[in-house]
Amino acid sequence: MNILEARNLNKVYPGKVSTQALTDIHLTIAEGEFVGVMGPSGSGKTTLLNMVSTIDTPSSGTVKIGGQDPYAMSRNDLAKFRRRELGFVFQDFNLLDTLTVAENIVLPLTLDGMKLKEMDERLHRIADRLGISGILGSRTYEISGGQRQRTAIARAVIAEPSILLADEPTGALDSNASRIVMESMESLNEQERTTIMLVTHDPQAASYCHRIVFIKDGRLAAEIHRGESRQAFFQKIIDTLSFWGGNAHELSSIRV
Amino acid sequence: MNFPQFAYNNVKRNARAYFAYFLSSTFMVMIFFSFAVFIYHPVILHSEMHQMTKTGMIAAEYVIFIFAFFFVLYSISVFLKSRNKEFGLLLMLGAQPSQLNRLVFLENILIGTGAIISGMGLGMLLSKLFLLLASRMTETPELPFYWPWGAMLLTTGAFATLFLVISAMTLLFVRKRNVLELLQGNAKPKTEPKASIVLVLLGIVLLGVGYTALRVDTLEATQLFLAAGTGIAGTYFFYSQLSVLFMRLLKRNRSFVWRKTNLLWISEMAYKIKDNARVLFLITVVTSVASMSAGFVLSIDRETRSLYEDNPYAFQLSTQHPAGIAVDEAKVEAVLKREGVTYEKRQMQSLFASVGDDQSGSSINLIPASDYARIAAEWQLPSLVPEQKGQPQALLLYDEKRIDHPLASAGETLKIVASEAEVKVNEVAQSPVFATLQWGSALVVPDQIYQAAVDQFKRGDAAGLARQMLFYRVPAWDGITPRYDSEEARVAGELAKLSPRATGENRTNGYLNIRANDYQSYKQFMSMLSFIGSFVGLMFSLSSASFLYFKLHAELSRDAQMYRALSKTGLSIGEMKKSATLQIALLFFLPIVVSVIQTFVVLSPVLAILHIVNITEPVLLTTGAFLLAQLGYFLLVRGRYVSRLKRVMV
Repeated sequence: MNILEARNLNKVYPGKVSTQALTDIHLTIAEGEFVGVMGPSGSGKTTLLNMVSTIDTPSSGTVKIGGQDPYAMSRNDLAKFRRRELGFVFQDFNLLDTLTVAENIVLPLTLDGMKLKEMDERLHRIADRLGISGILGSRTYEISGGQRQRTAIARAVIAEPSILLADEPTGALDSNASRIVMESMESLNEQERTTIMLVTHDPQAASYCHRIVFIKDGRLAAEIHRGESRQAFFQKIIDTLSFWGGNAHELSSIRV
Repeated sequence: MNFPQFAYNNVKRNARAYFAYFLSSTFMVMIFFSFAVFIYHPVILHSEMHQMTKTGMIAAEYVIFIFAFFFVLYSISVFLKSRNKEFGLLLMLGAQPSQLNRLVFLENILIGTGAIISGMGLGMLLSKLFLLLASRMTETPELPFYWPWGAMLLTTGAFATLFLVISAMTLLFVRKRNVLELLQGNAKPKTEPKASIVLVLLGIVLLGVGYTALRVDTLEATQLFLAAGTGIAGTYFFYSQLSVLFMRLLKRNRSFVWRKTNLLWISEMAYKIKDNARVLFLITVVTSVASMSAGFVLSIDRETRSLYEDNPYAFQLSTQHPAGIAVDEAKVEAVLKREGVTYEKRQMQSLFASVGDDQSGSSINLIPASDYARIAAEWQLPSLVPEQKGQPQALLLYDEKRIDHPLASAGETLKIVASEAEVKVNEVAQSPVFATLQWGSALVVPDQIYQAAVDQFKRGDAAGLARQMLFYRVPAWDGITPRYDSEEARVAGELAKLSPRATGENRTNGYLNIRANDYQSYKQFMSMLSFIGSFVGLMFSLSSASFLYFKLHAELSRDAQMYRALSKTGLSIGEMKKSATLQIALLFFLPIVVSVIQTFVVLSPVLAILHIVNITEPVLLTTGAFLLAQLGYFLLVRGRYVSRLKRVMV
């Protein structure tokens, strides 16, 4: 079953100089898939993600998530839809300083009015899976970057959404923390069959995906699939990037 | 460009950034000055106001000054915080810390001078309006505009000192930060607010001391000041410590906190209260002081009214003139006849004479029993049996509002000094009607004892004061408040022409006491006081609301960021509204609730000294007015705040 179906997506930013940010994008993500979206700065990755995450509306084309069209919903329904069907992970974590790690994770559930007992169960299960059980009582500024991002991932998936959308989740992390975060996502994908869409610059992070689509200047440019070896896939990503984007070295160093 | 020029240009060209600070300083100068103009007003200074009222107004001026100090200190700390980046840049460019300090100091002096001048200018306008409106509203033409040199001197002196001290204090604000911290500004996360057990206990002890100080034996000035000091300090700890402790305890109750938007606003609230502790504290103190004074005035006003309502006599005529009361009586009754007023009258005589034993003596009004018998029922007092077992009996009347203890208690014997006659006090009584005579105390004695005392006095053997009195009762006017257009007020105006106040010459031999006129003048004075009180209160509540508004505004960008991120993860607009509204409501209404409690706690013992027991209504009335004003600001601020946040929601 397809979780995400985006057809004929176009996005034009009007203005004195109108910008065609996306042109004719088709993207389908099946249940349980781990898909990466890569491309140079300004290629339209984030615009695509915004369309999928219902934050921005497409100029034309349709987006269906789990068979539903989020753009036909009222603002309130949309908020509920985001809460239940979409999980978000951001580059800068977007955790609330005023809450503890546990409170940050359960926030979507409390908004939904879930019972305390069930929240606790889910919290401990997800925290165990992501290896953050020991820091549940800590504050967000007391923990490392990798732990923060895993907290954010836990928050994103605790409501058991149909798709997890990750926007440069390793962008602010060092290589070790990046590795732990990506392994966490991989394990979520494998063990819980969470569908993931990952937007990234980082070939290392992208190499955890099953499939990667490349966008350049708002158009789909290429698509590659992972074989058995992650190492080989990494090499393939580098090759594709250098083919499509010019200089591989330049791309991989971007960590904004 | 030399350094002072740099500072000057900095202020001049950066006017917008300095404006809020300048404005709030000007505002405080204006309020202080207007109030000073009022209390230094020659009419007020020379009026026969109660000493307590004058002291109260001076105390209020002190409170305004203390408030101004914190207000200015607070606005400068917000102002300097917003300029952290600029300071960081200057330090990076190689400015020495001492130069930075000089810059801030010079800027402060510049702004301070400007604020004093413009504040007094605006205060001039305001106080003119203030005095004008006050006399218009209360129908007293007595507060003319004057050149308030004293007030100007006071304001300039007070605020020049204030700005100098605050400038010196700001040096401490800037000194310790390093360049990176300054450049990053407020970006770093705030640590969780913690309450210190010692300070929590200190706060509780302070509040407890304040509470008991007002309630142990007789209240005196020292206790009042002790209570004010501990109460104010305790309130500060209430916000900065007790509230934090409460929030922490609340957060332990997960089944409540982990429900819907509770998690969001309660956790935010813990920070907001701690962050705003100083602001909330200031607002509470100001609101409390304002509602206490207004409640005080209102309670007294109520008392005045009862003084009128309990007095059954529309007019009283009294004379010490030996020729007697007949001449005055004819004049008054001629007026009454002309006006077609039906009346009843009671005659009474009294002698102000010494009573007591050899050691201690006191003067008291003696009333003959036969005169008393005619009016006892009307005065709601018991009647007197002149003689019991051959011993003359007496009735002691007193007014507990005027004297602390009656001269003697029932069963004691009193000696009238002039005639050496002894009477046994049969009963001690008081009544509201007697209180309206404003006599303090009186002794009803058998006729022959009275006559003996009067004879002694007439022969010149004893000191004293003999009086004849006539009480006029107009049944048609009973129980009606004499509005200025009522018949009673009109007749009172006619009668007033007989008394010296109107013409300067005495057309009656004795003194004519007119109930309606007393009531009117008392009421005028009271309404003027309450008018000025509410004016000052309104200014305070306005400034405190703008305090909160500035504070919320300063935090808006951070909040907007948070709500935007939350909206991406599915926070609906309704939930955002609920969370934001609850937070703003708490900030706006918590101080009002606290000050209602404080007002009750403080006013009841204070007014008990004045024998005023029923304070609930006046206090609720004044705090209700504050609440209403605050509700208005709240709706305004909430509307703007929520609509700003709505824009960032996706």
